[in-house]
Amino acid sequence: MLSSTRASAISLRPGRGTSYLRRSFRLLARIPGAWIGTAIVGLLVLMALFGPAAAPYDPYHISAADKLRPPSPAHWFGTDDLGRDLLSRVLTGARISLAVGVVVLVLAMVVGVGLGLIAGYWGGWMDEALMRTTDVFLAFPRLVLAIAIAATLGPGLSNSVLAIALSWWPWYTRLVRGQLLSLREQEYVLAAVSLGAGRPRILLQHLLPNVGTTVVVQASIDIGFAILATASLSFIGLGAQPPTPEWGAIIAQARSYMVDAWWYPTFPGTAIFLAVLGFNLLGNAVRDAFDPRLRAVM
Amino acid sequence: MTHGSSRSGISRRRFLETLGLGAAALGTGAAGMSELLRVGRAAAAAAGPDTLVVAQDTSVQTLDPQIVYDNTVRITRGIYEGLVTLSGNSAQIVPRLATSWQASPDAKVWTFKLRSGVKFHDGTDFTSEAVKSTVERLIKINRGMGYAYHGVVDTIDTPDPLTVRFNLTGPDAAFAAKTAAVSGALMVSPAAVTAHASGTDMGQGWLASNAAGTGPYMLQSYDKGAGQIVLSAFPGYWGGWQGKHVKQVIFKITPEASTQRLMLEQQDADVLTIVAPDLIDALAKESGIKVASFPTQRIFYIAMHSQRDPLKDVKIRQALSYAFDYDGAKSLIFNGNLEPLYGPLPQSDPAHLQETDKPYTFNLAKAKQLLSESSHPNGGFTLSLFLFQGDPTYEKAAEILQAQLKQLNINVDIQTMTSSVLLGKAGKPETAPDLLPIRNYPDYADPSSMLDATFGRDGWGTAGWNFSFYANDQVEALMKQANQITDQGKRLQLFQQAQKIVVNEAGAIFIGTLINRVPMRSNVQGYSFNPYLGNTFDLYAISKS
Amino acid sequence: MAAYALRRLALLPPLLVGVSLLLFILTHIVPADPAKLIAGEHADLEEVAAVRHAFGLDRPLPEQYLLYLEKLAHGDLGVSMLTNAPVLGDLLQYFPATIELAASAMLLTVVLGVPLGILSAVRRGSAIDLVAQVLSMSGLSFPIFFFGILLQLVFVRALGWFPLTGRLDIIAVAPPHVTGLYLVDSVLARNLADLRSAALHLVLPGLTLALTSLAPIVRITRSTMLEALSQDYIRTAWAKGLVSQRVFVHHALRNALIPVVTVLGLYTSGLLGGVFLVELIFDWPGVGLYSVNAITAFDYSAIMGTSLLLTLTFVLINLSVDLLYAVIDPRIRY
Repeated sequence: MLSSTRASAISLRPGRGTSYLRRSFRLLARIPGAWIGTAIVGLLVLMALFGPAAAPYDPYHISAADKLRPPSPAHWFGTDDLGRDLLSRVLTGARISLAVGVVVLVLAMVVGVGLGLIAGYWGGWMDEALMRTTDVFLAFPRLVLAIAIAATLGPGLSNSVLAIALSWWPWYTRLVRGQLLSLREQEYVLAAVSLGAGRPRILLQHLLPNVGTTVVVQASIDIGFAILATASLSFIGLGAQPPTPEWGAIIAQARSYMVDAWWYPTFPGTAIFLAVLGFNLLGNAVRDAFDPRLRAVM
Repeated sequence: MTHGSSRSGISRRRFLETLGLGAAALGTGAAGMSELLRVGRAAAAAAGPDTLVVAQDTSVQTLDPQIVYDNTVRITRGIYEGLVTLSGNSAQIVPRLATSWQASPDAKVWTFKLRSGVKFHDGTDFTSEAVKSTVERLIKINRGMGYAYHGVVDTIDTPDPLTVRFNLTGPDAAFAAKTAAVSGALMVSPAAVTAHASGTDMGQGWLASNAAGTGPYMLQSYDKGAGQIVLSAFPGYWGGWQGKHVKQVIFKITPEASTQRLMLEQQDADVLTIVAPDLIDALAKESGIKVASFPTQRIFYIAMHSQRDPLKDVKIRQALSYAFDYDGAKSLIFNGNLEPLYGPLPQSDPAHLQETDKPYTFNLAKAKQLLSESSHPNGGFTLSLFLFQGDPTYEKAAEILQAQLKQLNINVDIQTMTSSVLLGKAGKPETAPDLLPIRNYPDYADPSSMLDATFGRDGWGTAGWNFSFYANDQVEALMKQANQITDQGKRLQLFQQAQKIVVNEAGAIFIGTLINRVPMRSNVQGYSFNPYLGNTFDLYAISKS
Repeated sequence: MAAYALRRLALLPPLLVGVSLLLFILTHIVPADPAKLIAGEHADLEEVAAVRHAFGLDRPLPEQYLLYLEKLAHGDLGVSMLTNAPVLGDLLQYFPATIELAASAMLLTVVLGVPLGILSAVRRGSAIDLVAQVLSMSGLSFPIFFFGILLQLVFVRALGWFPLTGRLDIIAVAPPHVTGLYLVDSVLARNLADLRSAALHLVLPGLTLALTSLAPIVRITRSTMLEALSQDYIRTAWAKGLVSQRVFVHHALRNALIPVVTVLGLYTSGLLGGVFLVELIFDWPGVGLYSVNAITAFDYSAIMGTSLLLTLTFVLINLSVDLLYAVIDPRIRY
């Protein structure tokens, strides 16, 4: 991680930047995971943007006649126990999942990176206090903390989004602070300080961009896991409430019918799998493309 | 940088050989294991013809017979017995621990003659003293069925060990029916209660996980962690053990319906207690399994909070009653297995209403019209709905209503909770939800039981079962009148009049009368169901062929 | 080494205090009135007020926190509304099942993941490597609650190889309680039937729980193994024939395993979080299921108690891993 930020630090100096970036993208293109990941994420974004409009049926429309129908030309993903079209519900769920994933990460990053920057740059008692707090949050297994907070706030999608974000931010604080600590001692920073640059300026101009790369890479991998965490909370009854077609909530309802209606849990389950996989592949590929050690190998 | 195969010491050939050997070993192992596993599974299934495994749907809070009021009564009725019981599937009262009974002409004094030679599981004798102490205990604790005796029974006399006399505060024609109720006055050994009383708890602490009854089965073990209760035959049972009876009953607490379904298929359970119509229908198609069907006294409805805005407005309640898709619900939720319900009393009750008495059908236009005449002409409000966890019938009814109300610009906010918590909140008008999908069945075999409990002022919340918090003076007057006369024909007329008022005022959304469908293994014999005895079935009558 | 251990241990109490503070804050955001919850559904206003006073709920927050800490020190985690029993007692009853499940998952992770990672590294670029990488990436992305359901459908319903739910067959009687871990207790009681039953019941839930940690273990083992294999001095020694292939692999392994140990500690987080989902699906009577049931019952004492217990476990495991790491790696001198 350190080396990659050193590399990216170099990249942000004028003149050298573009060729480095172009090289990175070419490397990225050589990693098979990058293509698959981009394709999946791209598909997900499309589903999120146009899915609900493209859905063949109203995802909330109950129909007694169409109860638990297997996949057919009329219903590509089959129907659920209330006769609702599962394709439409999964498509609507894509929008929910992507939105949730992004919101969780944005919240976590705003809080986590913000606090990490403060801790890493100011040092002293502020750093100590923030790190102790981060340690306390990190002492919890992540999902345990999310469940405890979500149970306290009550069921509901927004509550679980908040709960997951609150269990996620410390990772970014730790990440950012660690990077900052090492970067602080870098020559060019010391040079800037000696030239009289104020703290905020150093922070924004020199440190933030370098840290930014790592954070963005981590966040892109994490979106998938945030989606997974939301689905998990919905599965145990804390997240989305009926009739919201969140993927995890659909699987929870599908459990009773899975023996006779294999399609009911399978399509939302596969959707979650693909979404997480997509972000994982893409994020990992980006990380690999920027890691100098592997670049040397390739 | 190369790490080609020439570098690593293991040659390709050797590697492939090892792989091949490994695969062969794995294959044989898997085949062997599969056999071993199959043997193991069969062993599980061969719990024996003398053991009945029941997959129980609700968890046990306590085994105290004077407190149990939920489905745990299936278990307690195997351990404890009452003075009388109901025969077959009718409301006919027959002897149990009492051999005969008689009421004074003014129905204020009831005398029961008791069976001799009955012993409790702890070896003590069953006498009139046990009856007195049990009923007094029930009144004192005042939970569950306590309401039927509290304030009703004045004093209890025990002139001799085999005679007990109840002196009531007022005439009660239904007293014998009350003693035949599914729970409440199930006789518990006074010696056990005294021996294990802790402070003033009257043995509640001990009886939560122990038992001392007169019934055919004793409590052998109660494993809270594994969620398992084992009953075994009581050798000294007064009824004897001639004929065919299971000697051991295991209740395995399994709230998840699909798990119960798989258990029945895998022969890990013999009888299920699930309600999910889709799963039951799927099981009905499988070999080795049969589904027994019984009519019930259970009504399925959605209570509407009539003491709180906006449902306080009759027009809105009527609008909701027109906004519910009754036929859709019958097919979606119950796959067509539902009897009609035209009012508070079920189809099988002598006082039930006719189709013409219930104006409500699925008619969104009518609903909109009524809404426009109400205090919220454009809708625009949100109603809270509580859902009992784990029951798909309630969940679907809720979602059906939610979807239709959306068309009226009314939002429904659904919250799922466990039964005990939900009842706690729904018990008080301030914390109860606006809408509550729920069931009810009569505590005892008389129309007054259900009507009083569900729509009477005295039955608000968990004092009875009135989650609509409905109260109407005319209805109260009619019911009071009916309870005071003995002419059955006249009584039925009064009950019908009362029901018509409730229906016109849309006290609840009446969806249907339930049919009890019980999935069990084909070799289970003797399963019987009495609609007046709640969700229980007679364990003693069961045998496996 | 001792100094390192002591320093790590010294960090423990303030951390635990912090954890308890966080949980305390959570219980006070709860929308419901705790006094009403404790007093019960039948209580009237007076009784609720009495309960409020008795439990110190009418005192200022800092004072309440101190009371709460005091109770924690005495093991008083409150009373569960569902079971009407002290939460601590419930947790102690259900915890062994969770330990057994988590330990099995951990074992499966190591037994399946490490060899796969090593194989992948040794046969780098081969089909096996690709398959291992694809499988591990997929495993990491696969929702475990969906996986558990699939396993049930395939291995229970279709094949009938494994039992569906629970820790033992229904008719089996649990071995006499010594540790609460059925595998151990049945061995101690020399009860082979129970041992087999318990083991069979552990397979599917264990596999499901192991799924998320399997992938990282494979990847980390692979990458550290690759790194170790590429180290110059080893390669030179081997090229020169000074070191046999066995020693080569053995040395690489040693170096590769050190980070694996640390990572295992980290991935216990995923394991402990996963118990909620796995215990729910397999009806496994552990603290995860206990807590999930508590959620729909708004039983905050039970939920917080479980969170505290699982966090404590996680903290202790991390501590042990840190100490173990110091022991394994002779290069570490703290």
